[in-house]
Amino acid sequence: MSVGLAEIHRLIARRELRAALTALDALPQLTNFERQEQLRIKALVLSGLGMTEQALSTSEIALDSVHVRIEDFYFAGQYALELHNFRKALDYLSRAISASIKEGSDYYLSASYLLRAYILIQNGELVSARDDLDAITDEDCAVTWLSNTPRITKTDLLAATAPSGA
Amino acid sequence: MPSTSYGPQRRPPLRPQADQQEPAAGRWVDGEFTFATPEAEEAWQRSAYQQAVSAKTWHLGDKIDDQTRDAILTGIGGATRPMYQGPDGQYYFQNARTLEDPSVRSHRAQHVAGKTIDQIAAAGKIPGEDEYVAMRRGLRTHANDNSKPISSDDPRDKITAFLPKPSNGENGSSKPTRDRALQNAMGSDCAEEHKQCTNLCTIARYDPDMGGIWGGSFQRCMMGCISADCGGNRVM
Repeated sequence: MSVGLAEIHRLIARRELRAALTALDALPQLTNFERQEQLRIKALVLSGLGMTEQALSTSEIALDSVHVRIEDFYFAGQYALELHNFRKALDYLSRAISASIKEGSDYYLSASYLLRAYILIQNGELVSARDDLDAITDEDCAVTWLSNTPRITKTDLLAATAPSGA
Repeated sequence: MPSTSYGPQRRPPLRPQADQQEPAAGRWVDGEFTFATPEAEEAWQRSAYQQAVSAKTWHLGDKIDDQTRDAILTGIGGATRPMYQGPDGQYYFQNARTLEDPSVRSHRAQHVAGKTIDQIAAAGKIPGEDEYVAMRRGLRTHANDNSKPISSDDPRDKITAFLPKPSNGENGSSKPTRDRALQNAMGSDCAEEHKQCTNLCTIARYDPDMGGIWGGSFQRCMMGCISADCGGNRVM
């Protein structure tokens, strides 16, 4: 199994995403943990191929596993946001934030807060959005890598949530 | 020291045992430890994870002489600092320079969460051990696929090997305008770069050598990885 995944990592590094996708689907007899890793990589590859809907549905399968990790929630939220499915994105990002707090891990926390604040602003929930923005310690926090979504910065979102006249 | 029983299963050894000492996994060459095989290096990474020592800076520990080591291992050494056995077979005391990276501790904490002592003992290994080694293996595979060799001790060299190739800016385009960045952010080259960085930053979380460099956050990692042309902070 590890050899198979190593080969797939090589294909991804060489940007041979189609071949990586084929190899992922051809992986034999997986343990639950390996299956989770397969789904995680497959979603990334699908997203790389511009197949965001498939990436989302693949990552959603991974969310049901006992081996689910914070990044699974985060990327499901990111893919949902790229598809402008705000309801799902809000749910998954909230779960990423909850899991991060519960596990004491900051790695995906600021990006999750920022993206959730962006969605909350789209929904007109400015107070909640402001709370999320206040939870981000990095003043320069920005997410610029999403497809179908403009550059999102803490500065811009703070301005959008500022009380009128402020 | 009183022993604790966890039922029929034995607790996995967190500390090395003198009678289990294995031959060195490599040898010292000009002051640098070189692993004999990739498998030996991987075995060391597993051992380092078990012993909660940095797989990279282990050699900076305080060497323990044989008498002290034997006293500690036989239980007559009294309270001591945490000890580990390096891949060279030598025993060392932990110090501030050999502590494992916070990202590794976080990884362990993530896998320990929700488990009882009995469950951990029954597993016969440290929670997250296999996942950690697998991540390191994947990382090494990535590194080997890049043309730039990873031989320097400077972790930034390792980072550079992962970075996407410069995008389509003119003459390196060191001072892009924000409009240009916005325009490029939607371009296919940037999309490619974004995916490469996503891949890198997902792995970076589990690599003790990269956590400090990338600021310990996915968002910072991404912004540091993505070129300014594509909306990030990296200037080439």
